Amino acid sequence: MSEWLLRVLDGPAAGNVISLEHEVRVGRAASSDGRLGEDPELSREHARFSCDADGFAVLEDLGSTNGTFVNGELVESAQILHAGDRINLGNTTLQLDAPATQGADRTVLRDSLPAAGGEETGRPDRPAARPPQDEPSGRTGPESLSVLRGPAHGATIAVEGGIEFGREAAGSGALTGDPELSRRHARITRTADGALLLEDLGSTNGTYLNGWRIPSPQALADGDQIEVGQTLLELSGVARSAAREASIVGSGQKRVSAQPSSEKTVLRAEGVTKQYGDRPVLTGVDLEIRAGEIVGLLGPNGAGKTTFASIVAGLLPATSGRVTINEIDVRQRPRLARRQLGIAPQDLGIYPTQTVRRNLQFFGEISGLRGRLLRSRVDEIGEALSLTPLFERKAAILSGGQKRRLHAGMAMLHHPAMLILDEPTVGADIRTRQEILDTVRRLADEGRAVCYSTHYLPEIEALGAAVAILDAGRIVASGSIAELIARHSSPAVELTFAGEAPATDLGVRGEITREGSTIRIATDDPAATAAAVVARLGAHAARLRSVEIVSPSLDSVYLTLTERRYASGGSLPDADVSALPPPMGVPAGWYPDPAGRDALRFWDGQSWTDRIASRAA
Amino acid sequence: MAAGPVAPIARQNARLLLGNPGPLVLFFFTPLLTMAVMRPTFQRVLVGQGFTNANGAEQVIPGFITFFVFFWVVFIGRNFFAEHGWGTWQRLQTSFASPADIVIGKIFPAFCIVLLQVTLLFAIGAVLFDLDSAGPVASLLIVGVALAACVVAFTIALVGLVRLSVQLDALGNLLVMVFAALGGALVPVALLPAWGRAISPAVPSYWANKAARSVILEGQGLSAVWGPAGVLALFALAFAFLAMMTFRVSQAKVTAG
Repeated sequence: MSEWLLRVLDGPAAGNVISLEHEVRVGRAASSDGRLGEDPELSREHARFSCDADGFAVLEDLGSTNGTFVNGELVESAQILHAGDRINLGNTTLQLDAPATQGADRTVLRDSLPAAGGEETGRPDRPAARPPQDEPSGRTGPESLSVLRGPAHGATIAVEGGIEFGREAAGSGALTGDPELSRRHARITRTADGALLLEDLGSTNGTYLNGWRIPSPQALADGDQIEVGQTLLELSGVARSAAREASIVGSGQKRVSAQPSSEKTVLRAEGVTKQYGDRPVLTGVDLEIRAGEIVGLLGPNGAGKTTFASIVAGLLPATSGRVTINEIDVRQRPRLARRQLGIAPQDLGIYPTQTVRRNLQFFGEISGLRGRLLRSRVDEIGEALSLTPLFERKAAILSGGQKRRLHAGMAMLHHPAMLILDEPTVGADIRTRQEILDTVRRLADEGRAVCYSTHYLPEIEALGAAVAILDAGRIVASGSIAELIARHSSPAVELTFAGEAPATDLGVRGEITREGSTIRIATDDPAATAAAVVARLGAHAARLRSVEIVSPSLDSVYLTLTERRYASGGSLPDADVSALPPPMGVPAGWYPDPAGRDALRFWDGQSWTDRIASRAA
Repeated sequence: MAAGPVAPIARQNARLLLGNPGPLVLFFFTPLLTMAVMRPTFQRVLVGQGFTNANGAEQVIPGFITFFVFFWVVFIGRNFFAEHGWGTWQRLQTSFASPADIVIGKIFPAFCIVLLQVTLLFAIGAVLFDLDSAGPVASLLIVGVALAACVVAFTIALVGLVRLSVQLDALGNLLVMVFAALGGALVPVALLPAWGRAISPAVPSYWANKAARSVILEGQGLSAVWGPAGVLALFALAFAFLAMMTFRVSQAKVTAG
């Protein structure tokens, strides 16, 4: 049975942790579990917390004199709570922490600690961890702790070789004036390899890292928030470690970094298979997405992307394998898992007969949002996706791009830890696309994990996302764009002839492939290779129509891995560029060349034409 | 009680059902118009049956209520198909709501609207057509509740059975007519042919009309209502069982035609 925890952040009972395994009434004269001490502004029985049969943590005010507030909003009726919600009763502040899973230690280990500033610990009055900086791995700086709350508020404490906190500690570690500090409370030490470790020294009130009480020494990272007594500290200037980097694991491949994120794995898919009768759709998908990470799920039509998304969303059962979201199994506890999830399926899902506002409000309501919090979230999404001017418009009369924005916004209202966007920009104009990308980027920066399925590879590059390429039901490659290009693609020279490409010995080194009228030579020095090859063509040079330097790109990697068009050695498929699958539903215009050249080709709405322009032009 | 997704889904579905005025006009004004047109005819029929003081309202009001109430089956059923067509059904499944929340949230407002229609039509009809009941008409409220439950359960069962909207339309409308014809909604059961009289108890409308006749024409009270209401409740349970066997939240519904 999972169990929500209430942590008393301040007030007479600060430092206590209350389990919601059973209903708990809190107040001055409540039962022992919920007694919050002599807070004069608390009623005798102030409010009631419970965990309903479906795992929802629910709060009700019991007619208190001074009211109960969630994230600053007055509780007017029974209200569903979310992880990270902050509850104020009298002078007491409580924070709801996510349920610990069965058998897990309540004070979880570093691997499952939520990131500071993420939804799980998203406490409104605390600054979120700074967005990850694009700095080289291994950079070190003068580590320091900023005091964000407590008697020493505003001070900066240098970490140097280490520091101890406590009333008996020397120097700034004494945090003078904090009555909840133990004599020897906690310490930060530096390991031989320079990493910083936080350790509780048997304090009375515990030491917290990003909202979680630590049971054992924990490695620290940039942006981590540490609570000792009444004091809240934020760490900065720490070198980015490899462990801090975002990673995805696909089909037995090692973890590869793409963008900075926290340690916390939000989505974990292990050996997921799906079979319809004799037809396998997924043949063993392994994927991890961490908090703050965006993974672009790429693959041709029919590769299994939507099936995978449906399994994650609990719409389809996997034939075998396991999917968890924040360690909650999507099949065993689907409702609880879906609380962590926001999904915008590939097909639009909006009520055309209702207004934009009503659509947003409804999906906010069924996500447990109420009252002013609901209104503020609706306003927030409206602002982010430029829907505010359309609020009173019926969804039926929105343009395609506006509908797409509304559709995506409905998945984001409840600030899910995991966001799945299945081709969210199909049919969207440039502005809509940019707004959706900006919003996704921002949500990831706030600590959400995002699985972004698309056919538009430039979007993956724009998002700075890691990539997982799904083909024929399995992940064939994963990693950052740079790594995939390095691993699966190389520069090349491509020669196009009038008629069949000659079978002449070209006298150059490198992988040579012939396809109809085209010869492609993979080489590290395409310019020199081009000059050498043209010189050896002899009479065939008269039929030469073009020589092109092909730069490696995500497009070419993708095609290499999914179309096998330029597979090395052996014969090539008897197809030309114009026969490649067109991008579905896109309007006529110039697009990146699907063959992977560093060029643009013209899509007339039905097929690729022969119009080619260089990207530079 | 914990705040859950059922209430928002129910409110949303009420908005969807009440947001389209066409069917509401059909389901409220058409029965009243039909009652007005048919009342003199039924007066003669009832007088012929020995109810010399009858003015026809005693038959047309319950009869046409039980006739038109089943038209909701197709209308409510189409609402499920609309959700599939809009893509919102899939979204609901990915929300915090469980399949039971979704179904309960959808049928509860439907039940309330059907019950409201039955009650309002009866009240308005009684005033407009000068209904002079021999028994306590308030006792018929039990029948109205059972009838509304029957309509809603039958709707879910039918939606579970079909995959195409045209199938819903065809089967739904056919059964509405069968229920009306055999159940004494269009003509008193006594005027049906022998085979019709023999099988008429097999349709729910029969029991609703039987209860109405017992109270309004024969002057009986609550004791005469429990039996037919119980049978209607059994019909509702049977339809609900069928619905549980056939209705799958994950089954795709296609609007065609």
